[in-house]
Formats: sequence, structure tokens, C-alpha cells
Amino acid sequence: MQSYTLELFPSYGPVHIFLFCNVRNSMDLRKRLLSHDQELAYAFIDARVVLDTFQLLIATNGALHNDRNSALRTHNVHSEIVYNLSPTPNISESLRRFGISNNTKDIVVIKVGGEFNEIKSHLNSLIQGTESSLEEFQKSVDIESVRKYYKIDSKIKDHGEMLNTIVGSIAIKSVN
Amino acid sequence: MIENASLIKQGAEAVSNVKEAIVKERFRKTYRHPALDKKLTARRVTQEARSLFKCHKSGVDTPILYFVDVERSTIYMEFVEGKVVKDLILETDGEWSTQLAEKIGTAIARMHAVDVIHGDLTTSNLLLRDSNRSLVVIDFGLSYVSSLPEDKAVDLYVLERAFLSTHPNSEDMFKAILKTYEKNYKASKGVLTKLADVRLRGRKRSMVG
Repeated sequence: MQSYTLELFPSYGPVHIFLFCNVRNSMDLRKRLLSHDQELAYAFIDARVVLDTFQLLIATNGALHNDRNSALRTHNVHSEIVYNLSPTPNISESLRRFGISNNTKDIVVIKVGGEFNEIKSHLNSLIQGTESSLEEFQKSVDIESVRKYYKIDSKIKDHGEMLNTIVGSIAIKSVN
Repeated sequence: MIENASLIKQGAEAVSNVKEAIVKERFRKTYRHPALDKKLTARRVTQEARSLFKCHKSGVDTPILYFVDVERSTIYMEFVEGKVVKDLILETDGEWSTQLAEKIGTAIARMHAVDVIHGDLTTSNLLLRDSNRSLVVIDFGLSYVSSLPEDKAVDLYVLERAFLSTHPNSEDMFKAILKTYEKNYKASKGVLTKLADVRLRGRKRSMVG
């Protein structure tokens, strides 16, 4: 878990990022998300498509930008983060690929604003899984899915190079 | 809006530096009607971001795009630690390396292969990255997409003029750049033929006839 402040959007408060591994109640969480359960004001992301924290922060930055300009394309800031991670404009496809499914094992959670310890204990009561350090991204990522979703050339092998393409694809989405 | 920002360079557009990011903001042109200005500026910002990323995807090293704010006509991108090619050549007193010429030729070849015309190719818009010595193309503010050999030839011509005017006795280096360009870009033949025409008449096309 880790908290960040986005320099362009300080008024939204800190951005908290958590990783939960071996989650057993994804199906239940997804069901509650689909029924717009207000208690789940978080972005739930499939950890297999997360290569680096920077990727998450870029997507969050874009979501807050859309929110400030009243240009959200999804229901709220948190779903917008999930949507923004995807390079395609198709909303249902984006949420399917980057959001959680019934059998997602490792989940990345992002929360914008709020007090860290409160969020932490709330999440621990919601999610049946092990809270892990963000360094575990390296273990939970599925490079093949990342390659496919972000259309990364097979010649690119380096972690940094892959991240560059990912970040660019997320940033260009707003003008494509 | 941004704390800890400092102005590092100012041309027609301002550039400032936040930690590792470059913030490039287009100014409002007060002589234009506000509605028209808003539309044109938005289009140019979009254009610049698209060209930048298109080039990056096709294998040209460019700054990484971080965030585009069309409403504020601002582009946030990677701050590249490197040396400007212009200074490199001036420092070495006209002494140039085949390696550098090859890097420039390859970059332009890749750019033209995906039909991106840079629009302002000069040695000030080329950097050599400190970390891996790769050639970085910057400032896509005047770029556009075109498949016409004519536009690509003009792009090369602009670079040739920049070379010859800022770097005396650099004809050989430019020749070496063209040679690599020719080898690395399939449709280079048509462009180089056009370049000969452009040299005779200058950058602007004649409107007679």
C-alpha cells in the first residue's frame, strides 16, 4: 500500500493504492460493484494488467482531469480510473479487461481522497485476501495480457520500454 | 498552477520543468478571434500529441507522453536528460561522427515511413539521450500527417538549410544522413527526387500555372 499526491489535483486529496493477493470473494465484490453499491467507492483493478504504479497514477490523473471538467465517461471517478487504464474507447470492453472478474485472484485497489488508516481497515473488512506490498506487481502481472491489451510490439522486452508505451497509450486516449 | 516549476526555455511556446516532466503550454494568440483561437489551438495540441506518440510507437525515440490537457492547451511529457545535437556539433568544431549521422537518418526514415512530417527539423530539435546515446526527436508542434513525397522532401530540405546555416562545412554530414535515410525508408527514392526540385525552388511551392 502506498499514498501519492497528484501535483495537478491537490484538492482531491491523496491517491491511495493497495494490492490484495489470493482474493477469495471477487465474485461477491463484482456483484456489488454492478449493483452500484455505494460502500464500494473504490477502483478495483485486475492486477494481471498492472505493470507499474506509474501506469496507475497516469490513469488516475486523467480520471481526475475528466472529473474536474465534468467530462466523465463512466459513472464516477473510480470507474473512470479503470476505464482510463484501457487504451480503447469501448467502455464495456475496458471494464471487462481492466476491472475484476468473478475469478480474479490479485486485485489492485485505488481510492482517491480519504484517510489512509480508515480506508485500510475498511478494505480489509471488504476483501478476503492478503494485503501485499506494491513490489508484488512484478509477481502478479501477466505480461502476455499487457502486451495484447496495449498492443506492445514483441520486439520490446525491457520493462521501462513497455511502461513507456503503456503510459503513452493511456495519455493519448483523451485526444484520439 | 504548478509548484516548483521553473521556466527553462521559451519560444513561441513556453516550456517549464516539474521534477522529471516537461510542461509545454501553447499561448493564446490575442490577435485572433477567441472562438477561432480556441479551436485552432485545441487542434494543434491534439495534433502534436498524436504525432509524438505515433513516432514513438514506430520506433523513433521521443519524449514519453504523460498527459494532454486540451482545455489548457498543455502537454505534459518526459524530461529528457541529454545534449542538443546543435551544441554537440558546435562543440566538436564541425567534427562529426558517422554514427550520429546514421542515427539522424534512421530516425527521419522511420518518421516518414509512418507519414509523420516533423515540420521543423533542425539540430536544436534533436537530442542525444545521456543514458543510452539514443537520438531523441523533440518538438512536434509543427508536425502533421502526409504521405506526399513533396511534403517529406520539404521536411528534409528544412533540415538541410538548418544544417548548412548553423554548421559551416557540414555538407558531408548531411550527405551521410541522406544516405542512411535512403537505405532505411522504402519509398525514399521519390522523396529524394523531389528534394532536388525543392532545392531549386525553395521551401514554398510556386503558384504559377
